[in-house]
Amino acid sequence: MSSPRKNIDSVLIFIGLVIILWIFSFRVFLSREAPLISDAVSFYDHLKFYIDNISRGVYPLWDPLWSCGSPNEFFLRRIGPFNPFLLLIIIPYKLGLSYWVAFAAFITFYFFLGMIGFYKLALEVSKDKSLAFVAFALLSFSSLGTRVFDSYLMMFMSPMIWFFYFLLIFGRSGKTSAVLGMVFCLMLLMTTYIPFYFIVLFLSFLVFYIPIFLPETKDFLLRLGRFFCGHPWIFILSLIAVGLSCVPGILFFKAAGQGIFAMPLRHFDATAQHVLSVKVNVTTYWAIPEDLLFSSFYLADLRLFDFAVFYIPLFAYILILLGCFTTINRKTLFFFTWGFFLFLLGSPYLTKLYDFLYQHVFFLKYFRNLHFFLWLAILPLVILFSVEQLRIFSQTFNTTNRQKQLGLGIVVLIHVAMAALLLWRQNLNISTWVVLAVSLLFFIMYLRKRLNLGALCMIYLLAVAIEPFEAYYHLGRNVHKELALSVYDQFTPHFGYTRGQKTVVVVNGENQLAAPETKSTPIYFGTSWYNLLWDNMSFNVLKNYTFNKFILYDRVTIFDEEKQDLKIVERAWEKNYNVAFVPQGTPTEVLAKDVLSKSSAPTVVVSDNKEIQVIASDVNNVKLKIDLPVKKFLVFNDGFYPGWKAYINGQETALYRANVAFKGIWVPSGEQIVEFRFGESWRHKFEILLPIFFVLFFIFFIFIWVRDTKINEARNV
Amino acid sequence: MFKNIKHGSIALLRVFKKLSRLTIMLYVFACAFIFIVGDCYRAWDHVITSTLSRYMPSYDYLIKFDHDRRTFDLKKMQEFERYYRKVVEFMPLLPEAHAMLGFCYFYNGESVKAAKAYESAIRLYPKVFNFHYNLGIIALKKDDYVKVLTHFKNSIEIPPLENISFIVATRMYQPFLPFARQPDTLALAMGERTQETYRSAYVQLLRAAENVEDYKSMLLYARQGVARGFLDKATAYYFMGVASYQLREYENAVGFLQESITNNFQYAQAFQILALCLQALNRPESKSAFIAASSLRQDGKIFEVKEPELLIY
Repeated sequence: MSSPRKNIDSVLIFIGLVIILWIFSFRVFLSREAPLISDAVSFYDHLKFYIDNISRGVYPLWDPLWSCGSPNEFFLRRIGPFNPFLLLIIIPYKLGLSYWVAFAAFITFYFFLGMIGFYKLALEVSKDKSLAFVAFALLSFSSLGTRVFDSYLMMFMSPMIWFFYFLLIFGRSGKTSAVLGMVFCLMLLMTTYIPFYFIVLFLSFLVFYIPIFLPETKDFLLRLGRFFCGHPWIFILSLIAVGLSCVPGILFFKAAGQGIFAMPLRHFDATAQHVLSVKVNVTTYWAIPEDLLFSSFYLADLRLFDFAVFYIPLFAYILILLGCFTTINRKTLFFFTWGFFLFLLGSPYLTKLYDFLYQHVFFLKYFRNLHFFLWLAILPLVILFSVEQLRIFSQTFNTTNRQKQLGLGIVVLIHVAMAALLLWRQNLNISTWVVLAVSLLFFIMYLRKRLNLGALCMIYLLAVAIEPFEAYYHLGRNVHKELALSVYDQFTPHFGYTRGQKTVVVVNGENQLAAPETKSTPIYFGTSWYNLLWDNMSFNVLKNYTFNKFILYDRVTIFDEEKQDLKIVERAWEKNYNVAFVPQGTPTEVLAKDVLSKSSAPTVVVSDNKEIQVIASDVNNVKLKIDLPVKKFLVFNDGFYPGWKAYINGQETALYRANVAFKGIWVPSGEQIVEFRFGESWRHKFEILLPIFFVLFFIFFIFIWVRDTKINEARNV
Repeated sequence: MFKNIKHGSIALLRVFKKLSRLTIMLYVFACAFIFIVGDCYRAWDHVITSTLSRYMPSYDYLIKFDHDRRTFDLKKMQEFERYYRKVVEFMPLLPEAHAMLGFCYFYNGESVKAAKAYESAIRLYPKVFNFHYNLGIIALKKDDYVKVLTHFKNSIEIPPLENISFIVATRMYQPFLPFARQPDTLALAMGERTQETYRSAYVQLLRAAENVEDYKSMLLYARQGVARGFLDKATAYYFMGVASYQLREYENAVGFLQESITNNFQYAQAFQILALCLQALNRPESKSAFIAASSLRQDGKIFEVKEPELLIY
């Protein structure tokens, strides 16, 4: 029997090997030879935007690059801006490393942080290092890894996995570090993307866990109560930490309820007025059965492998088939029933469950990707379930010789059945057949003689990794290798007077401009007024008008908000009339009698000049020195939104919604210092202090965890 | 006997008790739950539709290919083949899916599979022009003129209005239909296309009849083509002239060919056959006809029928 230290080392070596193999499998994406796709692109872009600004001490509440200026809160919720692990990008980036390298290292790290958490969770569940390693390898090599390059799923999946790990640890040991770990994970989950996914998972977890593990639940609650009574300050700290984490989300949710920003693609025709709400047929259009059927189209021939294909290595299915001959225990019952419930929830056309919950549980109206439950929960549950089958099988059939012979017969039967299934599906993948052979050999060896931990891990690694190796090789070949550098990639803190930076496409190492943008779909996110212009105005007119950020007008006229005749505005922009449009109630110092009459053109500011100079700027703020011979109406073609304030010589002045969607102020003649500022000062302070709080909490948690680990080791010795 | 039944029941109960402890019962329970409680038909219908919609490649390539066959891209065509194979797998009763699959098979070099696919389409819904037409093209590529004759004969028998109704009502063809949202322009475009494709069918039919030496059919279909308005007189009379010549009805042949030439069929072959007919009738004009044929041949004025391509719709 090898020593525990040697056992730890063996597993660590194989974990390291898995990481290396994974990096090698996805080298095409990590080296940026192939681009990120889908949601991963906007995640990359907005994370870069956040880091470019936060590393300069500016918390980007506003995004001037998106839809002619939009509040940045929505994108910040998606990236989880308070995550201390983002320092892993910020520090190397500030030290001169390229953003892409820092980003690629970060997403790989974060993915494996989640996988290590899953390893530890599986270890606590199975109490067997080799089985935990199988679970780790199965999840790492499943197509969850591909989601790193086409979504931001891992940003909330990793903390979710660790949350359940700490929950289990606390249930067994009552350690302080486990409580802090849970709280920290909750903090991350409340501040990253939509916390409702986690809430659904946690509540459903409770529904199935409590009746099956009732004695353990009672112990857990008693332990928790005793812990908080014994550690009141941790209890208070935890409450404060979770409470503070909820604040940004609540503020954003409230803002969404006011209808001042628009998300037409998501919110299309939703019955609820809240912008974040989603109509039920949008959510149910693509759910779990659709994801599974779609994926099945690609699995018979891995040469076609693509993103968003749900894939688990074949070895997992062999282990699941073992379930035909193994007995149920509480763990398998729990994994199965919870997973089955989530499957039913994510199959809205199969039962009325989702419809019922959508009507009666308010937060189900606020997320639309039901198929996420397949990746977030059902996938890890299937793996834990299959690993548990292996454990029960080895306990049942690896004892007496008679049992071993029976086990061997079962194994052969399962492999023959699997081979028949593969033949029926016309499976063309050589690697799949190799895995089948390796799996059969493994079971034969496993039942005939004892294998040490190292040998077990080696065989498990072979059985798990061969097939995905082929799959990801083909994925790298199938993807279009056209890299597009967006405006976020080309971000510069210097203020630009024009808006028109184009996406650059890298072809054969050379930068080329992408094809001109066309209006093909509604905007994804923007102020509701900008959305109005986008929907109702000629794309070219809008694009040409918004190209220049500052325009000085001599006259203003009232725009009838009730009629909303945008054709008049469109015509004025096309013909370059010297008149700005303002809503009713705006002082019209010089009222245009005939809006459509020909007059001198407005002054378009294209660079610093004696009349207008930008003297300071960041994404939330623009400060100008203006020296005009006469009073003029300045239109700043950046989205109008509550929270923007204007100051002239330090005194707040009226800021108007000009030209339907943008900002406008009257500027007196003579030299003036004009400032546009977004966000209350308390909000800026809060958003800077909160990440610092997260970092401090994380450091405190790590300190306690190390302390608890040392105490544990000392007790074991 | 009752003892045996009792023992048997007890044994069965024991087996059931053992089985109920196995994990497989969870799988059985889940399947039973889904089939008993779940609305499987509704769910399956939706899953198929959504999944196939997502799996569908962008139609831009096929639309481009329909307009210009030089834009052939094997990889893209294979993608469409995979897509239509899935559609046929999950919606086997859609004739247009079989037809589109046949289209993809043909251009991917699998004409046998293509023919089978079109035959399946015809079995499901026989009254579609392009199913038979395309089968005819496939047979033409193999120089199987007997089948060519049969298939093109079947194609021209489809009433054009019935064909158009099917095409316009079929969702799968919508991306290809010109000005689909404007009824007037759609009607005009479909009318023009019908004219063009039926004409092509008649010409191929006549050529096939010529190849199999069924000259009586040539005469019949040429007359029919003109009567239905799909064949121009020049072409129809040319083929009637050829048929009559082969049937040794030289006087008729001369009449048809002269009519054809007058209607602007100024091609070397017409003059050649006319010359042969006149020679057979011992008429001196045959010499000038031969000279005219030779001269036209030198000028390159030869009647050629463009190699036909498969129709998408």
